[in-house]
Amino acid sequence: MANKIRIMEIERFATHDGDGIRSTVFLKGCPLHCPWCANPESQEYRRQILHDQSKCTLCKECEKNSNGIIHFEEDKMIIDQNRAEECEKAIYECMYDAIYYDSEDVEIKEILKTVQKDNHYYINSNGGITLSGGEPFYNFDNLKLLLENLSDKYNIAVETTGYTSLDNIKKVNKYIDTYLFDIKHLDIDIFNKIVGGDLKVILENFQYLARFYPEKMVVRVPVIYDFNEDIVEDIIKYVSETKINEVHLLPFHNYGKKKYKNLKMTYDYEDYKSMPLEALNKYIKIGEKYNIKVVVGG
Amino acid sequence: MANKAEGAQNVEISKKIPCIKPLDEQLEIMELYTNTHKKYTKDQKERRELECLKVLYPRMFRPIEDVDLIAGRLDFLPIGFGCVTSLGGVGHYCVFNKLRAFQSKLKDSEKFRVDELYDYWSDHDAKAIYCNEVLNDNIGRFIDCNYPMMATARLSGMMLHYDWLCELGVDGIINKINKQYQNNLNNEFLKVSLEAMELVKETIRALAQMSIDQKQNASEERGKQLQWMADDLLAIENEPPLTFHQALQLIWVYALVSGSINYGRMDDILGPYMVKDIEDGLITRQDAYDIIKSLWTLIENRRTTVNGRIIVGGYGRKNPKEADEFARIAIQVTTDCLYVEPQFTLRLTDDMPQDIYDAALDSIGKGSTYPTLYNDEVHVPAIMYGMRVDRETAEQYVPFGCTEFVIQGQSTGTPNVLLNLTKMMQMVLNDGKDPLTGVYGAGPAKIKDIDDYKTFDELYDSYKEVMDYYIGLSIYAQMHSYEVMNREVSFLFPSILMDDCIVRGKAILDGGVRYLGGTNETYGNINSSDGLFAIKKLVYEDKKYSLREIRDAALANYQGYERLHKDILDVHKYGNDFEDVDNMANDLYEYIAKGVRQSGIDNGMQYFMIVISNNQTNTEWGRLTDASYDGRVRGQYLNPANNPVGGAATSGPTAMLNSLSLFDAKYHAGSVQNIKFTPNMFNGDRDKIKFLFNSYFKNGGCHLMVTVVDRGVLEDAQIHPEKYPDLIVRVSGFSAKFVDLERDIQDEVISRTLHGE
Repeated sequence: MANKIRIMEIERFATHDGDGIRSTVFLKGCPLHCPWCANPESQEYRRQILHDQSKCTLCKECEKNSNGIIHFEEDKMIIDQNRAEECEKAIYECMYDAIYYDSEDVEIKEILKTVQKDNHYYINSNGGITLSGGEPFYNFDNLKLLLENLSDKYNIAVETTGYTSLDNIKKVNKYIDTYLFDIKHLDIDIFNKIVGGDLKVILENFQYLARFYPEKMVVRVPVIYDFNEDIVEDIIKYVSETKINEVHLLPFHNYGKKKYKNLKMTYDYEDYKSMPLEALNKYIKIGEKYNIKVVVGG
Repeated sequence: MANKAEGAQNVEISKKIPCIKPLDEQLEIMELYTNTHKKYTKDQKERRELECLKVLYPRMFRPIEDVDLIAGRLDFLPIGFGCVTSLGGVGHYCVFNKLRAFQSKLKDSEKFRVDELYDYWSDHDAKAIYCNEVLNDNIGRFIDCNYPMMATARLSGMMLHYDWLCELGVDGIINKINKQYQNNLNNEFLKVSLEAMELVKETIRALAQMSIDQKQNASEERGKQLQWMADDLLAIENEPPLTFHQALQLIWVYALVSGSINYGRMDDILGPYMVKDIEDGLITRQDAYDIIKSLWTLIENRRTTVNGRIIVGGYGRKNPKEADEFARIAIQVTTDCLYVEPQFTLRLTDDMPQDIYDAALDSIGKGSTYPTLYNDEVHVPAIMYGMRVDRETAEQYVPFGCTEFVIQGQSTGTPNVLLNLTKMMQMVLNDGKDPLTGVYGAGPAKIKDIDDYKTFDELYDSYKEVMDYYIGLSIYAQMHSYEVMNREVSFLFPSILMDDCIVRGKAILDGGVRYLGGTNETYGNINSSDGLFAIKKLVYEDKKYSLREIRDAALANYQGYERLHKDILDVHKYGNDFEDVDNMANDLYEYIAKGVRQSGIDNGMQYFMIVISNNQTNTEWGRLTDASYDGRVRGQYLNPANNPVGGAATSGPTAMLNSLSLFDAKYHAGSVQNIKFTPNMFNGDRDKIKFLFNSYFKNGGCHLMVTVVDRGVLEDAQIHPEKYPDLIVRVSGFSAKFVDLERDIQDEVISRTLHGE
């Protein structure tokens, strides 16, 4: 399994993941579990099966071909995700593409082959490659391997929660041109309760990068109902106290809604509509107050 | 008495404006036309043509409308004279189904008169003559989609030397003709051409009179406009135009009487007049806008569906600065009008002003589908090779119709032949027969028994032999169409403004035109190459299925073969930047493109090349094409041009554009690349869109037609068409009001990948 990286997708012509035209490689695994996460399948490192009920005809061929790993209780599909890897045949036998894996283990050279198809687009637009996920630092060996192979050829951006060891960051910092660094909250307890993990670690990493590599930092704040919408200004202020010049506010959206259904996961934001961009415009002026540029949207 | 030319003759989506004359007058004119035609023999084709034109002009002009700032609206009858099927017909024409429809409106006692006309024209309509001589089991008329090949006689795409017309004026053109005539007093073509120019004068005078007459019922303000129109008409009766309005009026009159429906590089010709008038204070910029808008409206009202090309931008313009000024206003007019015609076209160069490019993208971003974008950096060298001309000549390329190229003022390029590559492939697997019609169509090609194709190459070789057969039929049909048309007519008006007709004293198709070119429309290209690839993989590499199984599955329309069908659909498809399947597409493209091109050279044409476009023929032909080996089901639309099959492009716009730019433009004479974006992506990420397009063009991308639309809007428009009267989409070589399209064409447009969803 050396030289293979577990990825969910390579999105070409990614327009909201950094400068220019980019390809974004989505890596699996995350140490957090944000309830609004738009890629819920990314939270587990193991490969899982998603079930698109809109395509399913309940023919139950998958049940027949999976040794009980997939089975039905009446018309409800139950999947033992711990053994999802063993279901290749079941997925093949589905004529409707109603079940599918959330990720593949792909060789580095295949990843390179795909991303290099857009070389001329990156060059002409000052674009490059973005690593995202999940949390790219989650499987550090994978990340390091990927960075070693990509960074000499491409501008590299990494979308990160910042939740990893500072040591890890230091080890790969030289490969990274831009951090798209999330600051979701400032309260350690609330953060731990809702999202998991230790915010202290994240903020320490943040301070390190902000101090020594501010030019690499683009801070992103996902603005989420019932979580941090009342402290957005506090976060702006917090960032403005560093040498970082910009903070991006990303309005809540529910584009990942279907994935929760397909994963049979509860979606806490089921009844919420996406937040319009305009709702955040007021923070642009607020940013001026703190002498920091606020950008609404990615 | 039905004949081979009966039936729908043309793609018509935009509804034509009906003739304003009362029925008895229409009948009278058709009878007069017919009797005039009868008076002359074929040996007097020049005289015959002019005398028939005199029956039509200026009589067939209808009243000027209140919005018109240029005079000239024509009605068409089922019998008359023209160049193309989208407006009237070809040569001395009779559109039989329209004649029958006309007959049904008459009193019973009068119907016999139409029968007499019908009988005469069955033997004399140019297309009917052509069809009788050329059509056979494998060649159908345009547009009978049962056949693997269709052929027609027409002279589409003539774009004339309007620059001569404006520089010299009517008298100047007369002098030019006369100069040659004085040394060639026996030359009937030159003699009649001189008289034809008198007909232009007469038409101009009649339009001037019409303007004056209409003053009577007009408001004061409108009266002043009509007087101005009359004055300017009289000013151009003899002398060259001095102002923008005069120049445009002269071009318009000539375009109408010559039957040409594509206008060419209006920016270069009209720009200098316009700029001078504005600088001199004769008109304001708003006036120029209004005049251009009037032109746009007149073009739209001709309702040709697939023509009406106006080209701005590009290399080889004599007055680029002034031309750019015209372009700026024209883009504004286009965005504001949201018409489906003119087919407003922008040629891109590396050194073009950025503001024009940005304005073009803004127009596209508002959903107008125009301008359609042609990359000169690729096309000019490509055309030098393809048409075998020097750079200076290649710089005068102009796309007409659905994208076919001609050299303005110098070449013919009409697409008189159409090929269905998918039907041809089906023949290879079905003992040489089209499985849907049962008709043998493989000619002399060696077709093996289905079980005897031991390697992929053997199969592909048989397919190539079938294509070779049709390439041979194509060049024959194309050249024969020129021969038939030339027997019947001279196309006097177009000839007068084409190199080198006057100098040589010969009509266009008589040896007069400098470059005798033509085009050949191909369909089902990608369905075929995706099918070849699927067979290569599943039958010969993976050995999962036999060729027989695949063939049988397709014959069964994949019913009962669901697993096989899915396996075919899961194989790589063109449009996703996969080297293997894209190379297959390119290989097939080069085979047919090079073959057709060589056949033109071998048979004495300057060029004969494929175009990969369609005038929605991909849908119409698809209806009568059996299930294909890429998984497409019976009756479903064929892929549009060299674009991925609807829905097959799933890897994003960079991938799709990489696939599109694979084909070397030097082997074709026009291709269309359709791409769709949501408004959110196209307008919200405009900078990235610009990077995307620029990179695509730099990487060899030759062309783009962009539709910006929301899926939800299209789907809603199917259910509630009354809510979307102005919704425009790019079908392929043309734009159309979405709600005017037939259902399966709508479905095809919706099926195309929408980037940004």
